[in-house]
Amino acid sequence: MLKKFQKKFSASFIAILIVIACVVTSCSQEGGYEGPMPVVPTDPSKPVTFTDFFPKEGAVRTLVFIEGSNFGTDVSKIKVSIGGIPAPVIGSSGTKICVMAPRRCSRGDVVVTIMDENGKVAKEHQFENLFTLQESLVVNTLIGKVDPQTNTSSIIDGPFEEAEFQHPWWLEFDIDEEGNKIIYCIDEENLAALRKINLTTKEVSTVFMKGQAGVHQVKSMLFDTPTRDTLFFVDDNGRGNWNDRHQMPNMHYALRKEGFRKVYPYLYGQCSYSAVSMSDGTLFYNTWQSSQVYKARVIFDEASQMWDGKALFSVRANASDHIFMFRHPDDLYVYVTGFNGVYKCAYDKTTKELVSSALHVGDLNGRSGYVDAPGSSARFNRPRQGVFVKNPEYVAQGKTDVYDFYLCDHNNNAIRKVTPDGEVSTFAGRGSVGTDGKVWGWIDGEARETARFREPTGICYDEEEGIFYVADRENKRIRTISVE
Amino acid sequence: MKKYILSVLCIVVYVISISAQKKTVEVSGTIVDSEGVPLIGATVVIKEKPGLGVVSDMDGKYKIEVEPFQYLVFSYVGYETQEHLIKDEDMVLDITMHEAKTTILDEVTITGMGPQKKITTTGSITTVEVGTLKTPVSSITNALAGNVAGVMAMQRSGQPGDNVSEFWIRGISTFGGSSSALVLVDGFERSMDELNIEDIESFTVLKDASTTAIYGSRGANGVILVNTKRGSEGKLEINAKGEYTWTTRTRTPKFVDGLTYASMANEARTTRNQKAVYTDQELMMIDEQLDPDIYPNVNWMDLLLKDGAPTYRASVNMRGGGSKARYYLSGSFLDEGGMYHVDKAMKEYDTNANYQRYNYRLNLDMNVTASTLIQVGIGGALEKTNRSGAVNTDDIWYSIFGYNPITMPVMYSNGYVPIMQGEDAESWERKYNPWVAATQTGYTEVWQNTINSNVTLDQKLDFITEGLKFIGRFGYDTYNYNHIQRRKNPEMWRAERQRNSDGELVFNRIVPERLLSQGSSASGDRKEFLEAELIYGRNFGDHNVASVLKYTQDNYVNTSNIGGDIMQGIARRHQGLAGSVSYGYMNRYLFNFNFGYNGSENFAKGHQFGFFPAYSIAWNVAEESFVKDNIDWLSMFKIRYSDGKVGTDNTPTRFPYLATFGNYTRWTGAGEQEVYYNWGDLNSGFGYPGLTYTRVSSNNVTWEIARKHDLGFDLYLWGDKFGLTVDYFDEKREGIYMTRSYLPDMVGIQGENPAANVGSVKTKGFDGNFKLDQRAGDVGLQIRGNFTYSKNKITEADEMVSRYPYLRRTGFRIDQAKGLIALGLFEDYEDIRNSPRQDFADPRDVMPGDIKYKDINGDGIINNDDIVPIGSTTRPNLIYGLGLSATWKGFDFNMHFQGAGKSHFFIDGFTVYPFSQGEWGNILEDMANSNRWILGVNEDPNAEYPRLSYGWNSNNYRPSTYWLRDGSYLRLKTLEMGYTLPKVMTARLHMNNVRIHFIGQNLLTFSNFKLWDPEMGSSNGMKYPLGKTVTFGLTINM
Repeated sequence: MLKKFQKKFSASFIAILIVIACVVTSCSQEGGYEGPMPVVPTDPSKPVTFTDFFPKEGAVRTLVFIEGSNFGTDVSKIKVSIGGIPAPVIGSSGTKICVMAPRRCSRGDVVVTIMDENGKVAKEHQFENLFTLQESLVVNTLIGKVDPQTNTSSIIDGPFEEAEFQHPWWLEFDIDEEGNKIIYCIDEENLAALRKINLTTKEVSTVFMKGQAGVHQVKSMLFDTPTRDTLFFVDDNGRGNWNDRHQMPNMHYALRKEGFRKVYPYLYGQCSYSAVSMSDGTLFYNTWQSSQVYKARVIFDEASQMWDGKALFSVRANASDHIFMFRHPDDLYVYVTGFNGVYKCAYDKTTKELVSSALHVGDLNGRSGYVDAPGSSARFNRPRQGVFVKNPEYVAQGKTDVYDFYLCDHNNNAIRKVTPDGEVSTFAGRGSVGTDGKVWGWIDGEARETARFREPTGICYDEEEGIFYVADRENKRIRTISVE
Repeated sequence: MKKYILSVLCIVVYVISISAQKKTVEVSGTIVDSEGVPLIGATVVIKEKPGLGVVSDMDGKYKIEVEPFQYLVFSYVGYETQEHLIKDEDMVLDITMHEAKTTILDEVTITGMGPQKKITTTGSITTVEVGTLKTPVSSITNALAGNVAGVMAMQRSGQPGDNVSEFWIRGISTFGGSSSALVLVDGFERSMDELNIEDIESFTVLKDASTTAIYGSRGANGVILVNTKRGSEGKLEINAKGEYTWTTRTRTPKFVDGLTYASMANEARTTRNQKAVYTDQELMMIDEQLDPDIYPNVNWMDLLLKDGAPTYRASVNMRGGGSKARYYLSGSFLDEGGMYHVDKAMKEYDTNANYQRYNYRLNLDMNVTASTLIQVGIGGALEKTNRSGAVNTDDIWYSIFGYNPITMPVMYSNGYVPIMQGEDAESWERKYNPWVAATQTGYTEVWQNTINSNVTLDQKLDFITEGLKFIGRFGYDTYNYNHIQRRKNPEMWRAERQRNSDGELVFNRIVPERLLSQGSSASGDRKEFLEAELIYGRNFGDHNVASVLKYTQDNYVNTSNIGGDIMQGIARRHQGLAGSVSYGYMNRYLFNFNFGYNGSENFAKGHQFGFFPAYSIAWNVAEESFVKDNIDWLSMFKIRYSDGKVGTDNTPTRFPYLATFGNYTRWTGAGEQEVYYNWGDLNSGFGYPGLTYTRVSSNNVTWEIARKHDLGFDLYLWGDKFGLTVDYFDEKREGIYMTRSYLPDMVGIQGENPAANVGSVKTKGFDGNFKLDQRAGDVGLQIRGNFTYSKNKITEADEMVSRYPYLRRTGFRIDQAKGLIALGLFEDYEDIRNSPRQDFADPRDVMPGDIKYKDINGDGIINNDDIVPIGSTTRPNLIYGLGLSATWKGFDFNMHFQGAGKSHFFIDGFTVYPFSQGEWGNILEDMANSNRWILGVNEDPNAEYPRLSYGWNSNNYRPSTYWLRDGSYLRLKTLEMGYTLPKVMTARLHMNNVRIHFIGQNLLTFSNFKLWDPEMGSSNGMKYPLGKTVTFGLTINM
C-alpha cells in the first residue's frame, strides 16, 4: 500500500518536474547591456578608399568629416592631420571619419592614415583640397588643474600645467618693472590668497595668504591710478554699524617695492566692497549699507578722532547690495555693477567728486534675468567685475566715449558687453545649448556658439595682445577670450 | 516543506494499513452506468476506512478485500453514491450507478450566518463557482473583474508581487475612510491576496444590508467570504498540478528613435521662435553614430526589457478521511519572474523583480462525540519578493520614460556611468539611467510571512431543544514583513556637450560612488478573533424557523516597528453582538431580520456602540401552488427586497477623540523647522515656543452609516439550466469622516484640523448575472455573463462655497475628473484675438495650434473658473463579463471576455506632454506618428496633439477634454483549452484523472486608448505593464 502510494506520488511529481525542467532550459538570457560596441580595424582584404571631406573651411575645433570606405571603426587605428597638426579623431563609422580641426592648422593639408590591427600603415591619403582655417573669437583655458574625480582644486603654485586655483574671483592686469605681464588674482571671494599669474614666465605664485595679510574679507582690489605702485584692497570688514567703523580697516594697501607682500591698513570705515582711484588720485569707495558712495579721507570726526569719508550718495536709494565700481579710463564716469544692473556716476573733475548715480542698463527694480536688450530692458544676474576696452570703431567715428564695458555676469554664466549707448549683448559663454537647456559648464571653443563658463566673476584685459582673461570661478580656472 | 508533507502522509497511511490486517472476504463485480456502459475509475472504499479503496479498471471491474459486515461505498463524480453491506462470504456485486440530479433547490449558499439553502436566502448574495476564478498569476483578486457580479476591480501594476487587483463591491460610496470590502477567510478578517487558489472551496460576495448588517460597523463596503477546502469522507484523493506560464505584456509604450526625437526637439523649438537644439551636422552624427558618447542612440525599452518572463507554479493537495476525522492538506509553490534584463557579470545577487510564494494549509475535522465537531485549520504563506535596489519599484519606469534616446549612452566609452542630471540636482531627484536603476543599484528583498490558524467547536445541543447548536471559534493570525534594501550606486558622470580641444570628453562627476549599504525595516501584526454562536433552526411542518445569535470580538495590533508611539501599541478592538431571525412558510414567503450591535474603541465613550438593523423579505413565486402545478419549467422565481443600515468605522486616524499636545513647529523661510506658536494677531509674527494643541480632539466622531436598499430577483428555468439574477441597489452613505479643512483662521487652530462625520454620498446601480447550460449529445455548452454598474454622487462634502456649482465636489461623482473643455486648436492669430483670453500663460505666448478652451461662465476669460466635470472617474463604473464554455468528450474549452466602461482619465506627464521637461522625457511613437499639429505642414485645428513646445506650456499642459481619455476596454481575459486523457489510459497509470491544459490570459485587448493598458488607469503609464500570459499545465488526480 505504502509502496504503491509512493510510486504513484513520485510518478506524478516527476512528470510535473519534467515539464518544468523542459521549460527552464528553453528560456534564454540574451539581451541587456553587453558592453561597449565592438570596434573593428580596417579589413585588409578590401581596399581603403577616400572620396572627399567636408566642410572645406571652418574655425578651430570645427568637426571635419572624411568620407570613403573601409576605414574600420577603431579610432585608435586612424590618424588624421590637418596642416601638419594631429587632429583628434572622434569617431568613425567605417565610411565616415569625424575629426576636430586643431589649433594652428592654417596650412590646411588633410592627411589620413589608416592602420591595420597590428598598427601598420594600411593606407595613407592626402586630399587635394585644403582645409581653410577661419578666424574666430575663441575661449580657451589658460590655467587651472582640477581633480576630475571630486571636482576640487586647491591653492597650488607652479607652472601653468600644474597650478591650481581654489575659486578665482577678481583679476587685475599689470606689467612689472621687468616688463613681465602679470595678473593678480584674488583667489576665493573674501580672499584666501592673493595669487600672481606671470603670463611671461607661465608661472603661478602666491603673494600672500589671508592670515599673513591680516585682512578680513577682501572683496576687490585696484591699483592706484596715477602711480600704479600701490595696490588697494577693499575689505568687507563685517562692520555694518557706523559706530563700529573704527574697529577694523575697510581698505588696506600694499606696495610694489615690497612686491605687494606686506599689507597695511589704509582706511577705517563700514564694510566696503569696492573703490576707484581716479587719474587725479582721488579715491572713492562704497559701503554695503545703503549702497553709499564715499570720497575717502575728507572729514575729520572729533569725537572718534578719525578721518571719515564724505558720504556722497546712494547708488540706489535705501537699498543695500554688493556693488562694485569701475573707473572709465578717461575719468568720464564710474560704472557701478550691482542691483542686477550697471549704474553710471558722472565725475565732476572740478569738485573731484562723483555726482549721483543713474541706471545705465539693467532692471529699474533690481530684478534678475537674462535679456540682451538696450538700457533698462536688459537683464543681468549678479553682475561682477568689469573692464573697459577701447573700441577702434568709436575712435574712427570720433566719439567722445570710445570704451565698451565688458563684465562678468556671474549667475548668467556669461561675459556681457555694454556699449556707451547702453546696448547690452552677450560677448561670450552660454554656448552649445543642448537638450538640457544647461548654459554653464567648461567648454572651450567659439565664444558665443560653443563656449561655456561657470559663474565667472573676474575679468581683465591685455590691450596689447587683445586678450581677455576671465576668472571662471566655479570652473576654478583662468580662461582667455581672444581671436584666433 | 514537501518532504515534510510527504513523511506525515506516509505515517498516516502506514498506521491505517497496519490496522487493516484482519481476515477478509473478497468482493468483485462490474460498475456500469444506467445505460450499461462500464465506468472506469469509479471509487470503491470501505466505509470508515478511507485509506482502503480501489478503482474500477478499464472494463468497469473491481475487486476488493473487505472485512465482513462492512459497508462498501461506491462513488463516481457526477453520480449518486451508493452503499452496500458486505456479509461474511466472497461475493460478486455488480453496481449500476445513477447520474446525480442536482436542482437549484439543493444548492447551498454560504452566508455570514453559515450555509443556507439557496431557495431560502433573502439577501443579495453572489456565489461564485470557484472553477471560473482562474488566473495564472499569483493573486485571485485578478480574476474578480468580470467574473463576479457586484465586484468592480482594476489591476494597476503587473510587477510580480505587486500584481494584485484593487476591488470594490458595488463600486465605492465613500471618500472618507477606506472603501475596501471586508474580506473574511474561513470566517475571520484576512487578506486573500496570498491565498493559494487551489485551496478555495467557496467564494461568496455579500452585497446588501440584510446580509452584511451582522458585521455592523464594518460591513458597509460589502463582505467577501472565502472558505477553504476541508477534508471529505472517502478514499484518499490526491491532486497535483503543475503550470508553466510565459508572461509578456499586454501593451508596452513605444518610443521614437534618436533621429525622430532630435528632429522633433528641433521642431518644438524652431516653431516657437527658439533656436534649434541639433544642427544638421549633429543629426548626421546621431544617424551615423559617429560619436556615440555625445550623440548616442539608445532604445532603452529594448535594452532593459526581456520579451517575457516565466512563471512556475506547482501545487499538491490531499483530502480524505472517515466519519471520525477528515483532513485536507495542501502545499504549493509559485515563482513569478521579472521582466528585466540583469547584468550578466553580476553573479552574487539578482536584481530582477521576482516573486516567490510558498503556501501550505492543513484543515482537520474531528468528530469528538456524535454531536461534537472540532475543526482545526492552519494555513500560511511565505512570500519573497526581489527587486533592484532603486528607491521605489516605479523608479525604473520613471527612468525608462524619462531617458530620451540621444542624450545619454548606456555607458561612456571609457566605462564611466552616465546620469542625466546636473551637478546641482538634489539627491532625491536622482535621474538614474534605466540600466543603472535596474541593475547597478544593489537589490532589495522583502519577506512576508503569514500564519493563519483557527479552531472551531461545533456542538449540537439537540438535548436541550431540537435544532439548537453552539459554535465557538477562535482564530489567531500573525503576519511579518521584513524589508532589506542593499543599495549602492556607481560613480556617475555627465560629459560636457562638447569635447575639449584635444578631442577628449570632459566629464563632470555628478554622483559619487556609494558602496553597498544596508537598510532594513520590519513590521508585523497580530490578530485574535473570538466568536460564539448559538444557532437554532427547525422545521415545524410548513414553517421554517432559523435564528442565530453571535458574539464576536477581535483585536488587531501592530507588533513591530512602532517605536514609542503608544497609540500604535494599543490593539484596535471590536466587539459585537449580532443576530438573525428568519422565518419561512413553505419556502414561499420568507422573512429575515438581522442586526449587528457593534463597538469600536477607536471612538469616544458614548459613540462606541451602534445598532445596525436590517430586514429582508422574499417571495418565491415558483413555490406557489398555482405555479408549481401549471408551470413546471419554472424552477425558481424569487423576488427579494432588503433594507437596512450598515456602518464602516475605518477612519484613518487612531483615536480621533484624543487631543495631542506638543510644540507646534512650522517651516521657516530657510527651510528649517522651528518651534513656533503665534501668540499675536493674524499674520503678525509673535511666535514663541510653547505647548499647544497639535491635534484638537474630535469628540463626536463615529462611523459612517450606509442605508442600503436592494430589490432583486432570482430566476431559474428547467432545473438550473438557465439562471438569471438581477439586483437594483441604492445606498445613501452618511457621516463620512472628513477633516474640517475650511475652518476660519479666527478659530485659532494651528495644528491638525479636527475631523467630523460630515460627508454624504448616494450610490445607485445594478448588478446581475445569467447562465445557460445546454447539453446536446456529447457536447456541453455553457454561456454565462455578469455585469455591475454603479454610479455615485456626493451629496455633501466639507468644501468651500463657490459661485459656480460645477466647481464643487457636491453633486458629482467621487473622484470625478474635472478639466477645461477644449474646442480644438487655434486656427490662426485672428482666431486667438476673437476668442476669450486664456489666462494660463502670457496671452502673447498663445499661438495657433495651441489648445482653445470654452468659456463656461462667459466672463471672457478662460481660467480655473471654467473647469467643469468631464467624463467620469478613473475607476470604471461599469464592469461586465461574458463567458462561453464547451465540453466534448475529453476536450473542454472556455473563453471569457471581460470589459469595463464609464471610465475616463487624464493623461499627463513628461512623455505625454512632449518636451515639457526638456531633455527629460521620451517621445511616444504614437504621438510622433499621430495626426499632430505641425506648423506649415499640418495645421488641422482638430489634430490629436497641439503645436509642440519645448519646456512647460501652461496653456496646453493642463487637464482638459483634450487630454481626457476613455478608459473603457474589452478584453479576452481568459482562453482555456483542456484535454482530459481517456479513463482507459489513466486507469492504467493508476490515476483517476489527468488533464493537460492551455490558458491564455489577456490575449486580446480592445480599447480606444492605445498608449498603454487602459485597465491600469495610469495617467502617465510609468508602471510595470500588465501581463499577457500563456500557460501550459498538467493536472493529475489520484
